[in-house]
Amino acid sequence: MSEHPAIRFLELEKVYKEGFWRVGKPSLRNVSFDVPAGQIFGFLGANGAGKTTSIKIALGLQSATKGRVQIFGENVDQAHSRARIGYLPERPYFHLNLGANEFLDFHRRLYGAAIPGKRRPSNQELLTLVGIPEVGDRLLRNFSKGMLQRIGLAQTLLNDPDLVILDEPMSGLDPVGRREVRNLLLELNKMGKTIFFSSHILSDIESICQRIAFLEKGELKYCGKIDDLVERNAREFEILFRLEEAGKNAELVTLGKLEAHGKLSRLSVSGSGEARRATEKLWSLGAEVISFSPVHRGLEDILFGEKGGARK
Amino acid sequence: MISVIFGIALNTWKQMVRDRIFYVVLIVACLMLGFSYLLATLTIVESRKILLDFGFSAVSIASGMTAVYLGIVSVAREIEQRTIYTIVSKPISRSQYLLGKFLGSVLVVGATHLLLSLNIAGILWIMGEPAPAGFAACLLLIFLESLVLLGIAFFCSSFASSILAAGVTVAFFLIGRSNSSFQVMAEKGLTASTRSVGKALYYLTPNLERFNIRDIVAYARPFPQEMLWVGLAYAAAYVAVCLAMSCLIIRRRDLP
Repeated sequence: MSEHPAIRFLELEKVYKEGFWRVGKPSLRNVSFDVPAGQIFGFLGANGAGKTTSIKIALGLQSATKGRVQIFGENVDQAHSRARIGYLPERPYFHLNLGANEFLDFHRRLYGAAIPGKRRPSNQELLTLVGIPEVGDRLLRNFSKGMLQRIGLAQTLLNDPDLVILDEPMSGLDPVGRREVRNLLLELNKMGKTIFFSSHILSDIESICQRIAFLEKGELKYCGKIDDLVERNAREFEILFRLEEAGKNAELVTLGKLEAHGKLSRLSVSGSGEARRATEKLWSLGAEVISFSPVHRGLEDILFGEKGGARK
Repeated sequence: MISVIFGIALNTWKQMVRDRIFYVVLIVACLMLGFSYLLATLTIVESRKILLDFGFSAVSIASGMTAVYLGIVSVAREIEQRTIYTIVSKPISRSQYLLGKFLGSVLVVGATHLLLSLNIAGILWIMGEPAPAGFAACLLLIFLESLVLLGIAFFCSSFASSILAAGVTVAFFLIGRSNSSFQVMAEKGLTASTRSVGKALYYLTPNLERFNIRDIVAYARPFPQEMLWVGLAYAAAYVAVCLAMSCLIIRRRDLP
């Protein structure tokens, strides 16, 4: 495995022209983060946050106004830096007059000679892997949207890539299709591939990613492990305890939200200080504390919060 | 590198020969040739001249329009429809992509041209008329004219939208056929600035008249052999410049 990160975004900035002369607002502002090799990395943000722009720069489809992107330590302006990448754009834009096998053969040829030590999978292996083994001779024109997405995924794996970059790979898929793509990404990751994919569907990212980067209006708001983010934002605590007539205790009611069910009660409190005070109080009352646990908030709550804005 | 270019060329060929619009152009061209045959059979005298006159024009227009269509579809439309994404995100350069597309388009224009040329030769054979001197040279020059148009279409496609690129290329086609009028303007303009503009336009726009020996061949006049070599060199130079500029532009272009 390479010692370099799979992708390194370095002080990336992108400003598009508006019309012929006018310079528009920056789409990306000083975005820097690493995508470690061997992980599933989620790239989050609302529509227009700058995810697709970042990906396009990483693939050399667009140039950065400032900063640069490296793939396994190589600058992306070198065409051969893309030899270890498999890429699927946001919507499947393919030559629809080609058959599935012709399409795969064409894209395979673009990779040139195989990298030593890499075994390139056959078309049939790839079609089977993505769940459409029987369509080799069919024209892409006759494919459904889900099938196009799958053949697109097959195309990303032609060169046995070390890094798979997917832009909104689950958009437009039905729930079954989404689950299958998620499983495929997990399987690819088990094979040692780094997966970097963008999405605005948080549940997709939360369920399979180890790390995330979150963009908001072109700025990086968070980059790191999902667990760290969730832990850091676990501000609600739940204490499960056993105490006779806890519901009638006025002191306990003032500490937080109390739910008493016979002898067993649950006390929900906000903030770690309040949680400690509540626990001490329970002990002083002779309660038997059964469990003490932080209430995990979903990524959506953490990233978009009550005000709709992201927190660092 | 060569393998990648050939791969893209082959893919372009496959796409185009399955494109319905391509067949519409072919059918229209064949109908035009059929019409020229009909016209020739209805005429008592000089039927061969009429057949050749109409036939060459039909081949020229069909080949030219095929070239314009291919130039636009191969680059501008690929960028607009974003089919270019999965191709240039591979470890290839954009120049390889462009050259592959051009080569594939040349194959398609060549095949179209060959088909129409055989068509017109077949009509001559049916009519029992021998092919006149310069028949093959005339068709070759029409093919070279198509390649110049293809080069211009590629150049326009490298920076403009498909509609704009098509419009500009067709404008070049029309201007190129009356390029000699700029020469007149350069020589006989009333003011110095008019003459300068005429001169600039004369050199900047393609001189498609260099590829036109249609009347000479149709009227069985001897055609100057050097026109073939001059035409060949002119087309090669024009296409090379167009492709070089297209490569320079597309390498720097942000894809939408």
